[in-house]
Amino acid sequence: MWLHHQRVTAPTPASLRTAGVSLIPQDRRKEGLALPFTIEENLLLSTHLLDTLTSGCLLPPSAVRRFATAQIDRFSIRTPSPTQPVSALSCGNQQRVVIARELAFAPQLIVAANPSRGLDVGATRYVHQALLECCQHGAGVVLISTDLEEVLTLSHRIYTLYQGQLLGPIEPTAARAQIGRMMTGAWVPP
Amino acid sequence: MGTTLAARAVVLVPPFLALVSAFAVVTLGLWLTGVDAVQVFSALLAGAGGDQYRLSETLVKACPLLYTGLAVALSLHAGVWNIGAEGQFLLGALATAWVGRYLTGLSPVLGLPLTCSVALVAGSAWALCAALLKTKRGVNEVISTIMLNFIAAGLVSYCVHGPLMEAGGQYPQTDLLPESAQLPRLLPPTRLHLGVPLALVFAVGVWFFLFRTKAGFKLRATGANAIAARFAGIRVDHQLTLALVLSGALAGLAGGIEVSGVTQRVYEKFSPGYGYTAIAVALVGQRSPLGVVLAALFFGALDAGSGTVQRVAGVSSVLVSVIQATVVFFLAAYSTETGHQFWQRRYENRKPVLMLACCLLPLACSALS
Repeated sequence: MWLHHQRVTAPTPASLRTAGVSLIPQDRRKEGLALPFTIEENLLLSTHLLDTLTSGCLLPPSAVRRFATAQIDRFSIRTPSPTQPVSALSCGNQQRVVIARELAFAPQLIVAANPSRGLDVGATRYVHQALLECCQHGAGVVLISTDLEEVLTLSHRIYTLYQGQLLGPIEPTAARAQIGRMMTGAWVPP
Repeated sequence: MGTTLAARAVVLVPPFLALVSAFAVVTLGLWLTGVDAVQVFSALLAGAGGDQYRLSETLVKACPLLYTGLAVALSLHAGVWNIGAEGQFLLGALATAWVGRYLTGLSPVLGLPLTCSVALVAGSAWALCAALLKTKRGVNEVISTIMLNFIAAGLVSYCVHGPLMEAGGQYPQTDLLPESAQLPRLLPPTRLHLGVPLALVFAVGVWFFLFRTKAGFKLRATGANAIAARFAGIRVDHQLTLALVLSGALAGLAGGIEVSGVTQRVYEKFSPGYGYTAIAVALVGQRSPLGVVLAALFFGALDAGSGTVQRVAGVSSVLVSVIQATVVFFLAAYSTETGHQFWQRRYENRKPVLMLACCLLPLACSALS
């Protein structure tokens, strides 16, 4: 796999994170957040962030607090305190915590799986804007979504998966019927 | 800040309620059997802290529980149930007794660190067996550590009857440790030894490791959500191994310190189940090092006071085990997820009432006695 002219071999979650890959997982409560942890602990739940925040093996609470407060401001997470348990937040704010963590240090590639699942309109719009901003700053975004509207509004190129086969690319301006036939495997783009 | 303090205080609710309920049930039991409960509890109190000697006995009894309790608490932070503190404790003790044979005439400055580190290594090696079984073969650590306990008990039995039997060959026990391997006594008539204050140092150390280092953060993340931890780039199997090995090291050290500080030799049935009580200590202490210190003192006090209860009040000292078990029983009932939410809600609604109750309860207790 090539990432920004650098070859990534035998990737592990840790080496991918160091290489600048971020992941917004599909199920934030199971894969994205540690629910017993506080907000500031969840904001740090990435080996890459831990290493970037401070060198050495200590984790000074002042540095953690400074980082968390900055992220809470930047991504407008609504909470009375960074030491609140993350489980006390609403779905939208929980997703903001995931996004704040994954977009903290200008990632090069973001893999987002159903990033707006279960969110209300406002939170969904927020997630979309955050992803588009990353794009404008030069990051690549792989959006994996079951929501066709989302795919059509956000993407530059669309691929579909049919029975393990990757089909595409196709422009988001293409006729919907065509994309639909691609999704069911009825039509293979040239 | 206020909300966080309240959220933290909620952690204390289950153990506190468990203590109150346990004592209520025990009092009821005593009353039904026609025993004067006040006499029993005052005997317990006097036996645990009546004078300097008894207070020191409480500390001495609490010491192994503190180390092993910290061991279990540390592994619980990684989501690993180390039920094997008992076996690791025995291995640490056995290793100390074995090394002690070769240390005659050495300076304690060299001898003590040597015995302590041997106990530490022995305990962690025993735990490493369970860690390897878990990470390589997927064996549940609860099963493997319990099984390793029986093997350790058998090993102690074999050693004190065979290769490590005392030179006189009279009893199934090891030789007395040479002076170079004995922990110094701090207040000579009492049995208070250097291992007791050292335990507090280790409690602070465990707290610092868990909450102030990156390695501790990764370990806790694994316990909080192993899947999210893996997504975060944390090597979950490494964390599980680390947790078990550190836990085993603490439990092994407990065994070594018990031998070189208190018993000076290893014999069959050397541990009265410290490693098992440790699980209760870690749970009552809510996994937090400070909580473990307090819980270990409480369980140590119960142990130290049990003799006096039997002598003065004429109630079997087994009563103490009943109290311990009842506390754990109620704790299990109160600290389920739904129970926790229940108390959190209650706390939010009835904050003033709860605070008043907290203030009044000690007053009421002192007025009654």
